[in-house]
Amino acid sequence: MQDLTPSDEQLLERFRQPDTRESAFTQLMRKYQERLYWHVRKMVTFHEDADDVLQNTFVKVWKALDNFRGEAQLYTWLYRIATNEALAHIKQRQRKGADQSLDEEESTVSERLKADDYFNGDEVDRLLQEAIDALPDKQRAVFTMRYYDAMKYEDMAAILETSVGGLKANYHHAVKKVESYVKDRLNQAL
Amino acid sequence: MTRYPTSDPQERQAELAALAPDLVRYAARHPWHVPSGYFAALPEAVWQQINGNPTDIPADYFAQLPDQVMARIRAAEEAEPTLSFATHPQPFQVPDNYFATLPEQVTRQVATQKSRVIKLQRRWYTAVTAAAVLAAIVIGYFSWQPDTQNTTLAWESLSSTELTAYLSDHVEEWEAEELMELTDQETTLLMDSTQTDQLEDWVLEEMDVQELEDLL
Repeated sequence: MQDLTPSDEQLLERFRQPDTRESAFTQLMRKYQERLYWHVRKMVTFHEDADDVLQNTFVKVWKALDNFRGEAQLYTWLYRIATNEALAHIKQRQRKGADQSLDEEESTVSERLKADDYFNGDEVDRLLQEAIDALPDKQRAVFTMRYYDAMKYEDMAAILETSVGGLKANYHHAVKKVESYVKDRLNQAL
Repeated sequence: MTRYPTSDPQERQAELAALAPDLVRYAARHPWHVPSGYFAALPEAVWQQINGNPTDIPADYFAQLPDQVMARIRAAEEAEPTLSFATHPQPFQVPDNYFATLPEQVTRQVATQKSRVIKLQRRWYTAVTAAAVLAAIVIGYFSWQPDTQNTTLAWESLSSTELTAYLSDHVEEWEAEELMELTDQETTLLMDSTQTDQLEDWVLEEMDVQELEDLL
């Protein structure tokens, strides 16, 4: 069966034509929305947050696509914008909760997950989300891209504009922290 | 068609098994969901944000605003004729050229009513410093002319009453501003430099003996 999805080059060419500009952008959204959504969702945890981030991402893409010159692949550029938006959202969320203690913040994530209709994980899944939520920003991005999406380090390096070696070090640190966090909490529960 | 970004689950699993074996089995789980129809509706939601941001002002908003306001005024006048400015002329009038000459008149009046404003918002250490400087000048003056003017005073021997009397007799000789600087009164005194009577009264009433001693 033939794949009718237009290539990135075709989409960009149509976007540059005034009469097909909007339809090309709608097609671009349809092409990338699910991949970007899941990328963002695993970073920000909650659907409402992921929806905010994704809509903001596409609005920024619409405003900036005229300036996209193709130095990077389109998907890399899109992932970069989405990642930055997600990290900015997380920072904003952290500022709002800055007056809460760490325990209160963790319980907030945990309580929200228990009440979340769009999350059906078990206790370990919730602990994993709490542990990810406690990671520094860059480690959180690296961990979710590698742990959940099995993304290659070379692709991650292009998206995050950093070195493969640095990414591996970040991922290893993040894995150890998450493992320690989950084990400690499970042992406390016993 | 290649799906970007590329993934390699087997490589990821091998790496994870070496780093944290307990986490391997959770990596492939997917406990998240999205509301039904979310992706179908997302492009429309984004278009609404792009086209319909309520905080955006239309490009020609300010250019059209005066016409729109006038249209509303005319509509209001048609609906309620008593509101019309034309049917109710302004009953008050001003002399010819009043507004043209007003700035000049004000300037002229200001020039003839200039007064000196002396601020009295000084701190105690300003008063002490001024008093020390003044005392040094006075003492220096008398010490420098001991032979020609036999006016050297034994300041230490003067009583408070004598000091007050001396000040009453000689207050005209001092600049009003120098005296004012010796106080910490939290007011501003608008005064003419010739009002020495008022100044004398004020000095005698407001300054204590210690301040006068410091001054002298």
